Amino acid sequence: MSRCLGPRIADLADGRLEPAEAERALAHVAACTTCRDALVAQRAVISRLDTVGQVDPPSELLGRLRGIAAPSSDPVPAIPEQGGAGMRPGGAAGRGPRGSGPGSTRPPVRRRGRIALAGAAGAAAMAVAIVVGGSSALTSTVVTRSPSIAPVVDTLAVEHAVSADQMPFSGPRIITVGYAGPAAPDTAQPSPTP
Amino acid sequence: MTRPAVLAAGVAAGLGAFAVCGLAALGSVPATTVGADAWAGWTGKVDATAVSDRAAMTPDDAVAVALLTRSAKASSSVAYTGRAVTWDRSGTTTTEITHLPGRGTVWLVAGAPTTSARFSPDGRSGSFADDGRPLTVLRDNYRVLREADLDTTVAGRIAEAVVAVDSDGTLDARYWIDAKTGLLLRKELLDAKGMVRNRTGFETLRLGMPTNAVVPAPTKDDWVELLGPTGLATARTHGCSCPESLPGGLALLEARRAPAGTVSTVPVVHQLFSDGVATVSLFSMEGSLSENENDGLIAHGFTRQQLGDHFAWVRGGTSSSPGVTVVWVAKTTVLTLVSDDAEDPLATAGAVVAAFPPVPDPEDSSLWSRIARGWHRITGGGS
Repeated sequence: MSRCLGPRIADLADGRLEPAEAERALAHVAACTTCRDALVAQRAVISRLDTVGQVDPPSELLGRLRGIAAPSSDPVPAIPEQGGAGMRPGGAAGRGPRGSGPGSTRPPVRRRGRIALAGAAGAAAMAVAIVVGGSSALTSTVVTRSPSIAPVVDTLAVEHAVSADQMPFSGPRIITVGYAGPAAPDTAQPSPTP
Repeated sequence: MTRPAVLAAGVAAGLGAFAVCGLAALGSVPATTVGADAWAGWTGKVDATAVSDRAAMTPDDAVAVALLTRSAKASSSVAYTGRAVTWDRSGTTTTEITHLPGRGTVWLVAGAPTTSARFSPDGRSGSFADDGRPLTVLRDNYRVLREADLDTTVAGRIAEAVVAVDSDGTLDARYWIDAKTGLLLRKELLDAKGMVRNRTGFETLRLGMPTNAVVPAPTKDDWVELLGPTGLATARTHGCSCPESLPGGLALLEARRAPAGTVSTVPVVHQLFSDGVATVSLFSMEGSLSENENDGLIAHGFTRQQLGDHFAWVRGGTSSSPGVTVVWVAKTTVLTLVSDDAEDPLATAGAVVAAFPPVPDPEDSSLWSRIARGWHRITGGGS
């Protein structure tokens, strides 16, 4: 049996493997219980997240998050509109270079504690941001779009009328495309008394 | 008579009397158990306004089914010309109709140039008139009842009335069928309050073909390819959702396909659904919508609207224009829904959109943009 897929399970679930590689991976999954279970779990998570709608975070949570950021006089770092070079799927987001350069020294313990607290707060904020921002996927899956086409809506509306009018107990109907005759007052007519 | 003989005769007489009493009891009208007062005031006629009682009364009326069955087939054997008036909340249209069995139907809006006439060749959708599927769908969703009290004359012809009642007893549609030919002469669709929301019927009707009638020669039909189960299965492999039914009891009546290069640059699948009263079309085209296409939709009167939990391009659905056309992208397919005679076309469209949810915009699909959007909202920059 070939080696287990490991992190590539996520790529397989996301459909990001090349076709040939995906074939090999699926062949392995078919024979490997561990990878099969991992793939099922990945797909379940993605499927579940796909069903999650827009979520409004609790105001209390927002207040706490803002409170965490408040003691610092530094402005909240702006999030660029487009993906930055340092952003990678798999948890590398927000991670800066180790240390602060050649001359850097390790911070004192209390400062490290604050950094840890800030890091935890940042992670929490990131998690909330993902949910609040619409969590249909945890990976940076690129949606592949088919070629753009014109919907030819008026042609389709006429086709609907042509088909529906031929049905028994249907038509003729009013077609809003083209000449439609004079309009009547916009009032409902009462049902005639039998 | 000996004593045993007397005893036997007595037993036999007793058993006979018991049997007679038993049969009499079985055959009697159980007036004492039901109570004669329960039927006090019963005239034998159904109160036309008591739709709930009527709904609780009976299954489909056999006479109504027979009338509708005959009506569904009438146009395959009866030629006619006539003037029909259609009214809904968007306005009134008068249409000149010429029908020739085996050829087709010409629809021309009164006063419009003849060049704008629509020609529907027979067999285009009329094939379903023969297999009775529309009536089957109608009976699946509604109870059909003969309503002799509503009989009247339409276009100078005696018309017999049939009504369609839904499961909760609400009257949804009324049909008037020509007593002689079976042609549908008038139809009314009603809203939940019992108000007519759509009415169409003949003002004039003349059987047969006038000598000066001009029926256009059959033209090339872009939608000539009829899709059966196999054709739909093939279309699904190319990305078409091609559902067998839609929410709200809308059953598939017909599926056609226009090849690439006819209606569009890509093949278009047209599925016509109905619940027996309202019809809905769903068109599927493999592709997506670019900004240019979105601008084109805006130019055609579409606006971006929220239907339930999803956004789609919508035209119509207002009090003055109840019919709707809705466009959205689901997976790799552009879907277009047309609904013009449903009671609430926007609700119908919303249910279909929810069944085939739109894909998010490309710029919203990446993790980074989601984080940025979420951060924007957390920090008070968004709604």
